[in-house]
Amino acid sequence: MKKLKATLLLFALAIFLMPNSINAGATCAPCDDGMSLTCPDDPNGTACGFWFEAPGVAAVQCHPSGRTSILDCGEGDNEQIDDSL
Amino acid sequence: MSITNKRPTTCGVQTPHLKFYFLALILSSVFSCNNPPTEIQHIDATLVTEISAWNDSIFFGKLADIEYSDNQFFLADRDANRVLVLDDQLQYIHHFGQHGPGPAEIRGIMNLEVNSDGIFVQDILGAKLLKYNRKFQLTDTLRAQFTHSEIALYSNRIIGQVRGDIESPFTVINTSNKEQEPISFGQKLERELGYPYKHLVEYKGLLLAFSMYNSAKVEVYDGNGNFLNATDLSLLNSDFSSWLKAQNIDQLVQSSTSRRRNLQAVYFDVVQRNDRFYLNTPPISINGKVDGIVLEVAMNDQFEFYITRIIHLNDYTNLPCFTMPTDNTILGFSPIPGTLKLYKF
Repeated sequence: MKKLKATLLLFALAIFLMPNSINAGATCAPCDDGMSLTCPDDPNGTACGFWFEAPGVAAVQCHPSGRTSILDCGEGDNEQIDDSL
Repeated sequence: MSITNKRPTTCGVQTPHLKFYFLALILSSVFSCNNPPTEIQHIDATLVTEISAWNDSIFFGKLADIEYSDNQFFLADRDANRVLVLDDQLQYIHHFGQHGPGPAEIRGIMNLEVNSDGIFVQDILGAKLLKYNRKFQLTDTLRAQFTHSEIALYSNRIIGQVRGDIESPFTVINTSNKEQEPISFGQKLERELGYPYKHLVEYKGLLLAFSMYNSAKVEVYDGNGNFLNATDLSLLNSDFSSWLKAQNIDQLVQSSTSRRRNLQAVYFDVVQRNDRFYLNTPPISINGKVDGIVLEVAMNDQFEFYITRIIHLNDYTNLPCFTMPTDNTILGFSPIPGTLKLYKF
């Protein structure tokens, strides 16, 4: 009986400690040197969108949270950034 | 839904005594400062239609902008660098514009502006604006290094925000006289806000600048570019204010580096319809329910903005671009799952 109680207690503790959303944020990595954007843990919002600001500069945005990073990847082709997104 | 929030008013009169209350009521009606209604209405929108393609050959991936004019919708198709034209029943009619590096081609389609005279297409990577007539023929190309924020078009002028310029950020280009030098103006932007980009809207000869990131401010300029007033819309609604505080903007901006700017989108897009403005924000928790919302706001005689209605999309989504073909219809692009969504309210 004690074992059961301990298991239940542990289970309750695990539930309590679990984050509200277990759907972890997606990560977009638009540049080769490891710059990335981690989206906040929203229930459904894990995807990233992007557009180009200028040659070599990409804007990456989480949907729907709106968290955004504008990344200057230096000189380079946008097609290269496109491939890594 | 029938929730109402009290909006703080700058001209309201408060007194604990009843007789003073009546006196104040009479006086306030005489010396009224044209206060807008003090209640914010909450209304629900219903998803009516969702579209991802018209047939096997006409489909789209990501949309950068949507405009509506003369019973036609114009969609900036970012994947193909072209403009799709739909009729008012959302049926595909035509497309124009072509991907490429040439002067008549588009490298990075971003904003569209449409009036009865023509269709302006912003090519952000090509740093130019392409003008098409209403028969979809290219008629002109103008140099313009504008950002991705909304550009404003009126009569023969286009106003946009110039990339990297925070001293006098807005630039006017004369569309009928390319020889005329562009005119720059505007209040110096706050660099500490990260990328202080603004959506620009022309309204009755005024220029309205709505913050895209990190702030809920709306600024008003006169026709000569003189600053008139600014309103922080997040101060007018406690849920909006709580959401913005929870974003830890200061921390977000401080974590930026020279090669990476971290930002929080506040107004994804702005649509003007009659004397109202519609702003799509990220989902905000209201009464425990987190929905995509569209704020309906208006401006009073003192160039102050106030929120009139909060439209709940009843959908955990945002609309990076949308338009309103009627007073109670929203057509927006939803990035997840990449569809056009038509809402009615």
